[in-house]
Amino acid sequence: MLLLEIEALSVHYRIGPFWNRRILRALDGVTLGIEEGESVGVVGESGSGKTTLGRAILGLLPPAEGRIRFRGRPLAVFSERDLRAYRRQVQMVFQDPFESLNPRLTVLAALEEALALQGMRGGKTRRQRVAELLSLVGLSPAHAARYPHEFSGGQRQRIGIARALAVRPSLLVLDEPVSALDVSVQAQILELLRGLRREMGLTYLFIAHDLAVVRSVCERVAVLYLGRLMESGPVEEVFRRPAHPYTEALLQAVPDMDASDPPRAVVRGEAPRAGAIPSGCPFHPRCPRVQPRCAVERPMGVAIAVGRWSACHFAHEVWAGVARPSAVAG
Amino acid sequence: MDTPLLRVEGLSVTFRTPEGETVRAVRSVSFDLRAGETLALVGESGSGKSVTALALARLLPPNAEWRSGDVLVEGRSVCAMNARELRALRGGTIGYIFQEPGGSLNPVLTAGEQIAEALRAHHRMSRAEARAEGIRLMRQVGLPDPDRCWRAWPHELSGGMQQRVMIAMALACQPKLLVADEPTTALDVTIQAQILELLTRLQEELGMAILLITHNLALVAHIAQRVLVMYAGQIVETGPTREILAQPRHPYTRMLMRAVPRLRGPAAGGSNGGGAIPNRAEPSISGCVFYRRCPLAVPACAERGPAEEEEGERTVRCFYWK
Repeated sequence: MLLLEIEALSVHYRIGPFWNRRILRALDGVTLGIEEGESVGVVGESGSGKTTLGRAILGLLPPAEGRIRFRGRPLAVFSERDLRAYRRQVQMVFQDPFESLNPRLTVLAALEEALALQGMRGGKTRRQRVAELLSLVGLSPAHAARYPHEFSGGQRQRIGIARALAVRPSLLVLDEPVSALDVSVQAQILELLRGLRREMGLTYLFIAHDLAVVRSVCERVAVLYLGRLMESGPVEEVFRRPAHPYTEALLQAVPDMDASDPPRAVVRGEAPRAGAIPSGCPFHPRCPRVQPRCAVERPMGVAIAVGRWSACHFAHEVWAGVARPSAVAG
Repeated sequence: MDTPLLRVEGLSVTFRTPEGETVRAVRSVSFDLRAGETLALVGESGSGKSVTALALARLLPPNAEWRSGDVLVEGRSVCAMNARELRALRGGTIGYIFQEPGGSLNPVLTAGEQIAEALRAHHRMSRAEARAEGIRLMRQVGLPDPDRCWRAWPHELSGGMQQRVMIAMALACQPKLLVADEPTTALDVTIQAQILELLTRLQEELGMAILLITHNLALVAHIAQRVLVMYAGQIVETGPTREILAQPRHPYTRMLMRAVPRLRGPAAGGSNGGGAIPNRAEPSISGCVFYRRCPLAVPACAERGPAEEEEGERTVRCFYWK
């Protein structure tokens, strides 16, 4: 069953001074479904809209167009009470959880605060639940009396996860949860996340810029560029055989120990600044496979196989591995 | 044997923390760097890799103390250099680029003015000559529309373009060694690949050596000829990149390689020893620095640290790697 459905979602920001208000389309027509118990990765570079997507799902940003459904019901029709319940069901884990934690509260107090929101009264059961949460994320109950600054980056992230889990959510939106961590610590947190999902049947929306990290926790992936969905599908298939030139370019740009070739910059130039999204396909000015039609016609997107979708006019050629017309010159 | 471009001999650096503790950031580190070579210094945070890089040109911050050892650049000790010689060394023989190009650029000078400044600090040049040379450098580092970039303020440039400006400034004095400290870490992956290609191309064109400081083993794989792996201030393993990645010897290198999530091959990275880098303020480390996290450790490892063991072009600092 679909837990969360994002349907043609657009989110706009108003930017610029009042005499020159402009609209920034941070997300533009993104459609994505998340099954109960599934882990979906959202990858993209800066300005791709991946964080905006996370915030929109939490209900922190109103959609300009489209909608989000949770267990089949659109958020827009939720009553006050439904919304409160929804905000418990959907929890966020940030890159640095301690930027959002009170430095003067011990871990015990911070977790108790989260539990109180759930309506759990004080006393022994609550302290017991705190101990339970800490052991769930691999910390000892002795850690409860400590303050945020006494923890290392990896431990902080464990506490961030514990706090998110305190209210027994069904969906975790994880926004770059490991990108600030050292590789060896990152591996531990990724393992924790995989284990928690297995044991508790959680659903993840995992936002990251690191493709390999996404592969290690997600079954499906959605690739965003300048607020548009470029491609989505099962991670293994998308990475082995991308159906969008942007995904193809991302995969070639990542340094990879197992590849025989060095990373290649197949994409020239840089993504345009916010507010200056190109016509047609937003990727066309940088695309090594660009054709005249790409500049004028916005791709509708095609389903190229079961569960695979690509927003490229030439998705089938890319997918079939047809070589690029010509290598781009440096 | 001829003199290496750079020789680091038994370098030890300590830090004073605000709490008054002494931290051993670099522990008797020694290595050579040959002219034109790309050497990677790999480690996680707290490994001492950046401190080592700064020490090369005596750029240590005020709370750091140079305890022992020496750095020889083309056979000359940097400890024995006077202020004038050090100026010629910094940004002359050795150029630096850092992770956050935005933080290294002066926000109130245009990109062009900063490149011109770098040029005129080391060469006798008129303004017009500096501008002509600066524009040429901007073109060389692939900045689009150099005339416009010349007049641009740092904040008007993207991260990738700022890094290109930094590289142009570093190249201004034709360095023999470019120290690149996490040069692509803050950049988007498509831009990362562009900067890496640029560095590789520049190295071929100019024949300079590169010391690449990074936490990213995958990055090292295709760029560096040799790798030094650092842990808690110490070099634990060295050797040709290909050999180390194919057959890591030190338990830390092995752990690091297992920890890296992969794009291909078997998914889900394995577990690793757990724990964090030991608190370097602790005086208790008399033995091996990796003792507490090491799967191979025996009690003796806590007592006595292993010496560097040499075999061919490789070294490893462990008793039990075999």
